[in-house]
Amino acid sequence: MQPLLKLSAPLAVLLLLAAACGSDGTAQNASGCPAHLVIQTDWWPEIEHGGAYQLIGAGGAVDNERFRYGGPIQDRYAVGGVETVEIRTGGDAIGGQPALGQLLIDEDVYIAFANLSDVIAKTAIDSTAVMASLDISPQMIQWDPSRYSFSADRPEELAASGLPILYFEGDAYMEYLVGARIITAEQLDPSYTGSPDRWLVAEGDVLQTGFATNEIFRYEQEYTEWGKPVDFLLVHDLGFPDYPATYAVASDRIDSEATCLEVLVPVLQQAWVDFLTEPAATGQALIDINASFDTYWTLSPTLNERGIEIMKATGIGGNGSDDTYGNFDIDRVQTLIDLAVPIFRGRGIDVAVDLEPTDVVTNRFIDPSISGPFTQR
Amino acid sequence: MNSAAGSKWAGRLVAPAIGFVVWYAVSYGLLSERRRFLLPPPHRVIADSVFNPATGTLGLNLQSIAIATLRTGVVALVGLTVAITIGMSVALAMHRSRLAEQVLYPYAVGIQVVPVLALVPLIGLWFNFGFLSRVIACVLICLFPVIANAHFGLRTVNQGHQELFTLHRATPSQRLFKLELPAARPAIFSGIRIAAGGAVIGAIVADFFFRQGAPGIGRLMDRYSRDLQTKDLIVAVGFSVALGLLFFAAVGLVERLTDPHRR
Repeated sequence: MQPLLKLSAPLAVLLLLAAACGSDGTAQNASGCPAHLVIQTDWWPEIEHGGAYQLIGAGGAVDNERFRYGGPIQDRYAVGGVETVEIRTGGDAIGGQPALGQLLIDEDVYIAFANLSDVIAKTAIDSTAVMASLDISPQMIQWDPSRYSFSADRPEELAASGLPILYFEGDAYMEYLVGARIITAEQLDPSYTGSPDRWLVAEGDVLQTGFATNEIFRYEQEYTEWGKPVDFLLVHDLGFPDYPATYAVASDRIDSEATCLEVLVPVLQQAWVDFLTEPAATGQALIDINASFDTYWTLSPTLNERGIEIMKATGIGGNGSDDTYGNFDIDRVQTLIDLAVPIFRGRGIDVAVDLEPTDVVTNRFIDPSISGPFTQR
Repeated sequence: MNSAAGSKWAGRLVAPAIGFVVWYAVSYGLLSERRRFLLPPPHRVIADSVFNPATGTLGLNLQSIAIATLRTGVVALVGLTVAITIGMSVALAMHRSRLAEQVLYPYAVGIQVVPVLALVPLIGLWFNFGFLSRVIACVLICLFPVIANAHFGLRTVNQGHQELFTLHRATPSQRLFKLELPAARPAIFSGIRIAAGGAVIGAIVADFFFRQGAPGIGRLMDRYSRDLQTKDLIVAVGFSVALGLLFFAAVGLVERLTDPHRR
């Protein structure tokens, strides 16, 4: 009996893994697209994901157990036989794991959000970005303007200030800033949790990272213990041109799913353009979804409005170097590769030294005639 | 080698052999090639992240993992030492004074039942997010087993022996060093063994939250997890297990070396 008992533990592990690894696969229709389109985001619902939620609009159902939002695709976006869309929350909702991994862990996931630098770094996942959901990363460094003044023309003053910089560890941009001597290694404090507590304890005498489309408003309006303006610089303007939250698909699907992607990607572009043009309805849906999830993450109409204003003013939601919304500037991708590959190799990640832009992005499915509403930066 | 010794060694080899068989079965039997990054087979983990005999090269992150494990080990060692010092002092005070027991024991129990993770934000704000906070988290996790076991050991010294010492008018220090501590020794070491495991766990958990300074093994594991570097993650887990075993074995060795009846 004892040997049987000894074997039962590994067998149980095997069965659990089998269950965890199982997948229904993605049911596809004659048009090549899945009837049920699953998109894995990288955070709680927010305006930075607005164009994805726009596919459903306000008519979806919230799954509070699994932090998902799903429903029929709006008629104007129904192409390729897609009937329903399911948007899965990332970040804390999947234990902080990268959304990109879900492309392989659960084959139902058709599109995963990923910063382009992550597409480059995650060598375990061979993925390709088919669209840039936003043109410029909202990642920024904020400070108290009553004490300090920094500008992109004099980035070295950030290092000279000697202020600690609170940030989440993992993104490549911080290693870039240190390498470019914009921040010194002594300033780094990766213990940031996203809470305003340390900013408040330091009475703003620190540098802190966050999203220009979110934290700026929260510090000015929501965190009443502070309740004053904060100023910021986009990391993009400090020389790290990452594409945030790209729509990535498994690379081996690029050819096999080309029929679908040819009709789907233009619709994904159009949904973003529609959201940025008329953000109120889907913005309210985002507020309601978060309220239903009942976590620490909340949105408000004024936060959304301010975020969209900043997207317009800074070019975060712009067309980029041409008039097309959602495409990639290949020269910019090359610049990012040149900056990021040495960083990732320095982390001990075996990224190919001869990586090409076409290894990580494609404009093949982009409709160049689709233009966003924010044309000027 | 006689048959008994052979059977003993065979028995020791069976468990890891079963582990490797199960590992390979999951890697190749359950996971498709696309998903094999979730659990790469053992030989790929070794070749890519430990040592590749074909190229004669070490894993790119092996040195970082070893150094980070050492840093975490230092935190665990300092935390365990502080916990033993405080724990033994508290246990002795509670043993000597009923009043001290009434005052201190509720605090000891409180430290045990408060989830350390709930205290993490406060510890960080009060003591910053570096080495000191990591040590404090460690001490909080491993203090109670030291106090509870030492207190139990001291309290359960044979009453007849106590009376014998009273009869011979032993001084308090004679009673402590010649009777109570030797008699409580097995219980004290039992507590320290539990605390040693807790110290390593505490140091690794603290790495995740108190991230100032050079990274410990917990922070590296978090990084590998986020970068989907599963092979390096598995090696880092292996180093963590080795660190825990090392602490456990070290306490056992100290116990044997300090045993007055050791031959």
